[in-house]
Amino acid sequence: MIKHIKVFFQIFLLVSSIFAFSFLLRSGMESNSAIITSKDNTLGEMISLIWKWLMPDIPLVSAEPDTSSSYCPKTKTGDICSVFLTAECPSKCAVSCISTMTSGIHACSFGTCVDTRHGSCSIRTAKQTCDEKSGQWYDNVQGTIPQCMKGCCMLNGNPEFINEQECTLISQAAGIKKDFRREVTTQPACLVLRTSNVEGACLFEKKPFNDCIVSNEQTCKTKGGKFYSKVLCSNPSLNTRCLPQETTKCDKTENGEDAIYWFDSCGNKENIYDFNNKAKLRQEGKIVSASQSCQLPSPTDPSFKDKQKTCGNCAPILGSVCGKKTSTQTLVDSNMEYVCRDASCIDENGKKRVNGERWCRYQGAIGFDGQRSIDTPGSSHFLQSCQNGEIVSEVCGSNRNSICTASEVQTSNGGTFSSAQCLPNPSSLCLKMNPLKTEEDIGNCEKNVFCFVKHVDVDSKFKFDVCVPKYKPGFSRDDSVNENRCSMGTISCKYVKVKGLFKSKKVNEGCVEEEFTQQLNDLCMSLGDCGAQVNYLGDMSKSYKVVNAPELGNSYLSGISRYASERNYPGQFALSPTLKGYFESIGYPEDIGNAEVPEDETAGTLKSGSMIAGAVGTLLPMIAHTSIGAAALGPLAGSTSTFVQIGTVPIYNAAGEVIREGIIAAPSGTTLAPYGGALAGAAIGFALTSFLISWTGIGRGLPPAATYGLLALGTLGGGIAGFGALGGTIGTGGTFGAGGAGIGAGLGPAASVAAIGVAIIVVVIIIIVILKILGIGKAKTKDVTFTCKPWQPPLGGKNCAKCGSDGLPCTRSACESLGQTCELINEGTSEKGYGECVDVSPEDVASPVINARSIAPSPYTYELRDYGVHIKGNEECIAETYNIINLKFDTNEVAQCKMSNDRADTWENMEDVGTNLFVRNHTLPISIPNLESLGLPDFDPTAKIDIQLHLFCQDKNGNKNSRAFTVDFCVKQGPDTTPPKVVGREPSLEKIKYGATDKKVLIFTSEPADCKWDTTDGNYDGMKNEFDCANEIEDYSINGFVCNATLPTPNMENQYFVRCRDQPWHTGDSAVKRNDMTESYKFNLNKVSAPLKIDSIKPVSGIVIDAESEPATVKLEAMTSGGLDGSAQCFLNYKGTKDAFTETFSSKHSKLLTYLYSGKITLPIVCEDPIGNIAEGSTEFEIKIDATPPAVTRIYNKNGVLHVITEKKGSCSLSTNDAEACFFDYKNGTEMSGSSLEHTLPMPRGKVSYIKCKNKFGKVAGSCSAVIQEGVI
Amino acid sequence: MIKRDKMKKKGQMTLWIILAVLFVTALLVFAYTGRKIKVDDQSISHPGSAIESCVEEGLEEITQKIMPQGGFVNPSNYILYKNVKVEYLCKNPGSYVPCIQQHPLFLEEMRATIEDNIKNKVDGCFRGLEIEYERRSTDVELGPQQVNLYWGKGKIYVNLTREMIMKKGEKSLTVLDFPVQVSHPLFNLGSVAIEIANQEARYCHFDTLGYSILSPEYMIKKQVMSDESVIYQIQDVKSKKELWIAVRSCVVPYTLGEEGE
Repeated sequence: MIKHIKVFFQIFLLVSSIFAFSFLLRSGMESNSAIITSKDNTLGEMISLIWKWLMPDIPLVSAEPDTSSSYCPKTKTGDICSVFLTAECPSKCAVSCISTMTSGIHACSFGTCVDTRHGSCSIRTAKQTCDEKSGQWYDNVQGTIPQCMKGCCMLNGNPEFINEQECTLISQAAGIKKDFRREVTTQPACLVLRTSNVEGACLFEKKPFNDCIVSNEQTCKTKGGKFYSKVLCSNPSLNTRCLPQETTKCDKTENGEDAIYWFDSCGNKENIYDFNNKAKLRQEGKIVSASQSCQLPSPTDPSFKDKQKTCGNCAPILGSVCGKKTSTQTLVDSNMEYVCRDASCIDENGKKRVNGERWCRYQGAIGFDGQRSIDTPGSSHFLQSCQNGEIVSEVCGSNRNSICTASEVQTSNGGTFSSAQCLPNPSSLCLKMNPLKTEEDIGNCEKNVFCFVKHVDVDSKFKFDVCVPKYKPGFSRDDSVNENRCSMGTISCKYVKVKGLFKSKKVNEGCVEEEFTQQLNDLCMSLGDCGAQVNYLGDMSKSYKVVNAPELGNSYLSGISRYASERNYPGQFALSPTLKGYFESIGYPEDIGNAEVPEDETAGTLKSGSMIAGAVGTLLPMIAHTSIGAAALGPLAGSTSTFVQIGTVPIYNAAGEVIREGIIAAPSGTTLAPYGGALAGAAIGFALTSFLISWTGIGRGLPPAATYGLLALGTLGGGIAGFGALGGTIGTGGTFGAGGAGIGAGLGPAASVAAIGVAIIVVVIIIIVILKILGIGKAKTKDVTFTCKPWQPPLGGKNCAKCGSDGLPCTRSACESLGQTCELINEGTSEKGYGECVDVSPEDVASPVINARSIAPSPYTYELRDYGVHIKGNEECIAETYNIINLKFDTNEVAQCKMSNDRADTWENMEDVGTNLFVRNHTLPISIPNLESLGLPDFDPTAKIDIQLHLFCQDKNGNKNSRAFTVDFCVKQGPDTTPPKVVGREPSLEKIKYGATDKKVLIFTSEPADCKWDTTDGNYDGMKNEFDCANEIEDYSINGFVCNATLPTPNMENQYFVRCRDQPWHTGDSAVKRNDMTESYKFNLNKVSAPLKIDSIKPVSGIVIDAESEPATVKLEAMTSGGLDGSAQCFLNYKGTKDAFTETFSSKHSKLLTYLYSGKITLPIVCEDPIGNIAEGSTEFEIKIDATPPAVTRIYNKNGVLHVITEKKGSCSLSTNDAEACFFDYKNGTEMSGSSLEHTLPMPRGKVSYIKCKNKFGKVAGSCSAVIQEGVI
Repeated sequence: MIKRDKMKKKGQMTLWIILAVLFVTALLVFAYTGRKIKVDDQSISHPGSAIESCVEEGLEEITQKIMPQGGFVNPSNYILYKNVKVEYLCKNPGSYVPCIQQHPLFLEEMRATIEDNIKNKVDGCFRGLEIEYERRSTDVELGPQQVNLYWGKGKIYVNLTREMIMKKGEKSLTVLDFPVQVSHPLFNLGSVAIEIANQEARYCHFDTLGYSILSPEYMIKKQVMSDESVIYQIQDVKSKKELWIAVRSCVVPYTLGEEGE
């Protein structure tokens, strides 16, 4: 009994997982899953995620309708109602295209098509297709129409889960009365209604022996036989020629299960094979039911093998099925052909799997290992199932587009039962979660079981988090789309090293360690088939490039090599569920890796201190000359209240000799005493020292103590010099020691004291100069770059034949991962059902031949040279700068090409020409540098530089060019007299959102330039506000060089004037060479006058919608106004998941919600227009399922008219046919007047009235709603 | 002499018995074939069983041809699998979205296909029989042929109406109807195919194992092709006959990139 419970539990799990999965997908597909009122949050979340994945925001050409797409009713290849871009549609369509925005019913409206001849229904059928084939089309895409509602059709005790019309037709064909049970709404519920037909011998009396067949009583009577219930035809008492137990065959029991049956010599089915009761059964000649026959245990039961020999009651639910005998599995009667075979399977790991069990199989490691995603290129997930003793393998989509997830339950005997399914891989959803700006973002990523947060932490200034998929998708070889995904893993870090006095200071030190390469490769390989990885058979390919950091070491590489073997990960499986969108790029923090040269830690002190000190030092003497100042500074003047003159100041050389005498200006008035002079001198000394430290830059290389020491020394020197200069002597009236310096005691006259101070200052200067000469504070920067490239299979095709060697079907991705020249061929013609992986160019030993094809833009041309081209512009030597010249060339076979300006460079060190993919058409972008930007000083019309680029290509077999294809050109220096131009702006629209207070804007310039803006027009210098411009050559974008600024928008209409100045590298005297725009670029930003508003939402809040059945279908509609022009894109905003309306991008928005369940439903809606205006709204309504016919609440006769009152709206029909009584067909009765609550008809006299009512959806009462007999109800 | 007389009597008895048996047999044949047979001479054999077996053979031939090809003689929108053109029952050439039914009246289309294709075969059966009768010196006149095929669970019925008059000397035999009934799982397999197409169109998925558990009379195998088309091989477990269909639904593109169409 326990075993039975266990088995039924397993079956329940199995079956429920089927429906659960179907449910998930269904919910996802029909795009309205977000509204399901499931109490199961996890389920709801999964559904929303699945939906999100399945319905990308991007306007997929073949996805949901949008304004730019059209239906093609029939394509030239015969497809029905495919969706194309409107512009492309006519060329692909055999007939006229129909805009997807066309309202009303049209040829490509999807609905349900009913085959009136056979009763079958086909959902999601285009109207035209249905009409052409003479079907009956209904405007209901889900098939939830009465004609297609399934129920249980009882066919002589055998239930079939079909619709009513099918039931009618099948019953008619079988000559039996239709018995259709609408109330049974699921297949399992239908199957349990199976009833055993009592069978027996149907005897046809004859002499000398009677004829006999086994049938049920009804059939027997139809055939004119005499029925003997539960008696076998071989029963001796029936006097037939039929001999018992002649042969055995597989047949079904009364419960529909497999069993071995004996058959008599007349071919009649007898009892289940039971060797131990063979004689008894012969003798009795009676039919014994399966439950009373011998019982075979589960194949996992130790007694199975013994009982298998004697019992034919297979019971497939327990894991045995009727099949042909084998060498090890046979009956005791060895001449019998069949046996209850053990239907379990032994999986690839030797584990026994019971019949009906499903599990996952992988081609290596899956998921992530804490550091990175580890599915290997070429690998797929497989769903395996045990079906009647046979393992059936099914690939979960190509390239891990689907992944296999499983769950296991413990069985009572200590084993496990696995249930598995293929789910769409939601990898893109993880990427869509980026950038991870807040803890909440990180939490959301971590919560998603299909994503993980990849922490990159190389150094204190180089760390960030990225949300990446656990089950990374695979890519197709040679597809340029791969580059987009992998390029998200390309990132730079600026390493800075500053020479110090004792040791160097370093920033982003980790970026030049292998750790940088490792962590970036971890990220790179987590994005998909990118970076250094092994394919599923363990072949390593390092598709990355790192500049200024070590390559990946052997230890790391061997670590990731182990992912190729499934054996390293026994028992692994992806735990069930979730999922979208990938076009958005990963948003790393904006300033990541942009390390600055480290600030001198004392820089703040130096800057502010020197400024203050300098000011003090300069001002003090001036202040002292004023009467107020003199009074204020009086205490500093000591006993001598006034000074007439300062006198001369000796100036010493480094050797202490007086070079000359200087005079301290003392124009008139009060002068400072020596103490005041000390103060002023100290201030000046401090200022001078700090200026020198800053100016030479040595401060950033010195420890703070050293910097402060120099400052103190400079200050001291200045102080002493100031003191001495104003006549102070040590030990006289002006005691310097009191000043706190405490040195110089015993020194002589004031001039000597001043000389000491100056000497100290000179020493400080000398120290600073020496430190500068030693290079202290000198910063070296390195741009460390990791380039993440699409993973490339090994060259050649020597391993192609290994595809499928792991016992799994050879998929296209597996084949292509084994070698560059491996191709899957004969997929459609191979007898295996999948293609063969072959090396398509095993004999190729020739390297690719390069041919130049075109050059752009005008006026550039090229001339063919020996093996290469020479590029020129208007003149032989190119004078134009900042243009990107695109030289297109092709190779006679697909090839990977690289370029270098050094012919001797190794292949590994060369730069890819655009891509590392093997392609036939290549583009070499050449950026023409400005010679002045390269450091050539002044304009020299004769100056020119010859540049040679060397191109090399290799084919998929690794045949490389030994001779370079040379691209040469010369660049000459030309005076740049052309002002820059503003060539573009963002936002391109002048209108900005309602109420905006500022707007971030971009402008694009034709060449590197500095730009300014103002609200009044004027020349460049007169403009007050600056743009932040990116002027490096690598900053060049397709739109030009970019500058950004945030413009305040105080008015409804705002106008700004922009001017730029080119050649930003010219500073100082050479700045005169720069050209300014002579006219301003006008940049307007106008706020819209009204916010975006949702004017209406239907269904309106508060209404109750009656639906016939669950799930119900409701059309959600919204109208918007305001904002840019009233048009917007609207979404259902369900728990942060945005589910776009099907028809939107205008002021009318609609979406068909086909999966609503009964209860109160709240639908939050958010709309956004192209300029960022957002409007929110919601509607709350209730869905009630009206699945029952209206009950009759009152009946009365008034003036000969029968009044029937029902509890809810509907209609009623009356029949007086006693023969059919309550079984009359509604439509055969007389329809009563009234479709609301009251229904009337003249009162039939002298007859019994049978009344049936139906609701507005046509749901009719199975029996009578009421019966009236001569006034009696 | 007495002995010889006795033997003669016995021989006569035997002869009479044989004649009686033949008479009864003729009566039974008349009773079985009913009003539509006009028996003028017992020496002309009835063509019913010959036509029946010939039509059965024709049905087998045509169903064998169409079953791997998705139920069609000349698939027009198909995918090649094991060198067989398997017709798409439900297809969306694009990505992410469920398939669109290509043959919403699949059973009817298959029925009409078989009916159309059996007509020539049936005519061939009559022509072959005509030659055979003429070889036995029996003249045959054939009227216009009408073939109606209908089917249901596990059965194909061919209603064949054609007047066939056979004459041999003064004797003639006329047959009008040739009902043929063949046990065949194609209707059932077609119904399963419709269910698969509906589930793919609704759920983007069809659970082969789950369906086989609930309906053990069918074994369904699934083969995913590299363009994500799926070949379903629906087998009637009892007869081992298989119907293949192709479906392409809710495809996540191979490259995760833009779709070509």
